[in-house]
Amino acid sequence: MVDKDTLRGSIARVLEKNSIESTLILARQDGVVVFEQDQEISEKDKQTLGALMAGAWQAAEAMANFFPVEEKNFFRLGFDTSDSGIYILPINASSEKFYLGLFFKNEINPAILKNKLRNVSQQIVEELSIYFDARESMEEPLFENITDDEIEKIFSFAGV
Amino acid sequence: MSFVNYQTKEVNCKIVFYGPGMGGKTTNIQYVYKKTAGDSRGDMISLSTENERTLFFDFLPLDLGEIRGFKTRFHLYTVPGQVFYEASRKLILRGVDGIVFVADSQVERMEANLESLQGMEKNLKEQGYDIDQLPIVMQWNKRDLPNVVSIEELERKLNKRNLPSFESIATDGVGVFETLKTISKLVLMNLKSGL
Repeated sequence: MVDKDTLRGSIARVLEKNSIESTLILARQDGVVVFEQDQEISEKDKQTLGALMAGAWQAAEAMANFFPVEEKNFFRLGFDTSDSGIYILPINASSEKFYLGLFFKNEINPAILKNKLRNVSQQIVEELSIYFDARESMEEPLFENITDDEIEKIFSFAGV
Repeated sequence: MSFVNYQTKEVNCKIVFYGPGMGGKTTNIQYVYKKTAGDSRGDMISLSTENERTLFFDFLPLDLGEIRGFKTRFHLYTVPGQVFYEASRKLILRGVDGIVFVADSQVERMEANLESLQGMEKNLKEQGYDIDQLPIVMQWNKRDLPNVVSIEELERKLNKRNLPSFESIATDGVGVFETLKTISKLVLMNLKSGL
């Protein structure tokens, strides 16, 4: 079984090998983050970035649909200045869509960095496919008969 | 679509607050934000207009405690309620695990409630959801206002599936956590095993 840490390790190695050191977030279509490179981002900020990234991509995609282009065109989303910004690429792996977001600042040549990311995206697709293809499809409920007490316990932080 | 990770023992779930404009969806999650400690939640993100109407979505990541050894993490979203934001609502419903439908109890908003509910059902169907399998909780909000429809009428017109429902006054927090606890329980019990 391929675990999440193995996936993290594999993607981290791909990035290291290609000298991509900028902050990077890989999120699912629903915004759930599956990988991040940057220990300085807090867990909560990471989740927020994932949600915003997925939302931004999907909004841009919906706008683009008003002006259809051929399927073969490969979209990317940029929000940047000449040396800093955000660059998002879509990734399809194992029948799922993901977004790869690069957050960079003070880059002398962002175009090179973006190009590197486009080049490594295929390697990331391969790592994701290995991981997600290994998932077992199960139909059994994860939790059965959760009690009201258990729910009260997980909400106890709110004092309500 | 929830994300269950057996290795890190984490579950991630997406809950969307849906309903007509000005019904109290944002107020619901603002109250949750206000009542939760800093280490349990992240910043609340609101993509809104200058007059605080939701433009795209509100987002609140919430880390709840452990349940049977699994760390539970909920992502709360609201949709923009105004009629012309239909495209945004469709996007936000993608991957949803559970819905809180926030209805405005005022007499003059009944038409808007019905329109929003029908829109939600249509959007879910378009995305391949079986509405009878998706956890949904109804919330009858603004019960403190003078011109409200009776609970019986709200149930009859908006809750034909006999879903769990709660009265609320979201501005004061009445019914907010009761609703959230119920949808959380339904979502957790609806999770399927997987890596």
